Amino acid sequence: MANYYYFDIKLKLRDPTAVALTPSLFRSCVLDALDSFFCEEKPTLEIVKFCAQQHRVIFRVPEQLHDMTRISIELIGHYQQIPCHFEILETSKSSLDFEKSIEKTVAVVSDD
Amino acid sequence: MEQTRPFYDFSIPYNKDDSVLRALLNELVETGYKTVAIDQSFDHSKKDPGKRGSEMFPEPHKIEHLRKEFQDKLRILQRITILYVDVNVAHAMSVSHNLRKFNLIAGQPKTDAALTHCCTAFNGDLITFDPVAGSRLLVNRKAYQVAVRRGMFFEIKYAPSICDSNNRKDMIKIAQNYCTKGKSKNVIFSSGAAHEFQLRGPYDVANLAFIFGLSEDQGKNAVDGHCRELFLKAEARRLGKTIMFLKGNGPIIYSDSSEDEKSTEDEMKGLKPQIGKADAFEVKDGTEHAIKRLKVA
Repeated sequence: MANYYYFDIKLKLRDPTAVALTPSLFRSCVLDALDSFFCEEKPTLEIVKFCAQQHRVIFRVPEQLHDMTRISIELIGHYQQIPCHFEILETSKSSLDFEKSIEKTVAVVSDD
Repeated sequence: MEQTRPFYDFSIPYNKDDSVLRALLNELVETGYKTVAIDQSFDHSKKDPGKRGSEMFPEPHKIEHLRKEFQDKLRILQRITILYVDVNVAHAMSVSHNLRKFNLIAGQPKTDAALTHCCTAFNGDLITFDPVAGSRLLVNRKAYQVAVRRGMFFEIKYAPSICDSNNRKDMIKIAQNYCTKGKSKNVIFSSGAAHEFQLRGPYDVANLAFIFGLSEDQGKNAVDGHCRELFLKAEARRLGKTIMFLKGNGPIIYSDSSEDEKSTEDEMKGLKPQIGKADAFEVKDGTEHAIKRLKVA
């Protein structure tokens, strides 16, 4: 069984209303970045969870592609010609979830 | 010692629109930066030759309102990047008073001769390159070593790598040249971001060491330790050969000289009776004299 790295991404867009935010388009954007940067065969990228309202995406890639994927995401500057920032909230070898992240956020806020 | 906190971004281009600059600074705070430098450029090669000794460099932009707004969140420094093509810039820098108002001075050479001068004799703190101009200028090994020995730092801006893939290739080429010629010593990462969407968190920036030819530790130092060294080096340059530098946090009060003289006279008057008393004790017998001496002591 292959090991995977999970990425929790927050999509920051200059104009969210001007773009179509869909899982397939996001996946294509990341794969294009990987291709343009490392010029390798397109790897496996599986979207685990996608929330258009929160602009959050959780996806996973094979373990050996963790570093390349992270760098490629950092260097993505445009999404459908709109300036953007794909903020990496968390990476983990175990599965990630929106609810857990939200619970963590709520817990932190409560502690504060 | 001047206090700064990590992380550092020494290249935030100045923008006349305060809203853009404020958005950048807010994003920097949100991502975890604590010390930033507002960068303004000056092209020495386009300056008309004026009188010898005349001021050539601009004054720093007024950003006191931003410093007050972010005083608990960011330390905002001011930086000037000097673009030049020949060594005539050296004299202009030596006689300039405005340059001393900047916290950081960066040199951006446009020719090979200027690059060599920048590494060997430039009286600044930082060497940077124009990412739009491509990677025409590549520092050689000897010049790189001299620059490192002089305490100069080499800057890599990551925002151009985000904007355009061609600029990305150029920046990678320059960075790989640093790795080849100087083992990536004295390299710092800066953003050079024109808007907030080009900014990245410090840990993400440190992670870019993977593609810029730096080791993991060098990547971390590029946004933390080396930037602190650069700041201290710049402060040393600004202050010159100074043993101790005192910086007042409040109003300075000077005492009146006449009051000092009056207080001195009062002290002298107060001493006379004591002398007289001591003289009187010496006339009496030894026992009482000894006791009195102990009391006086």
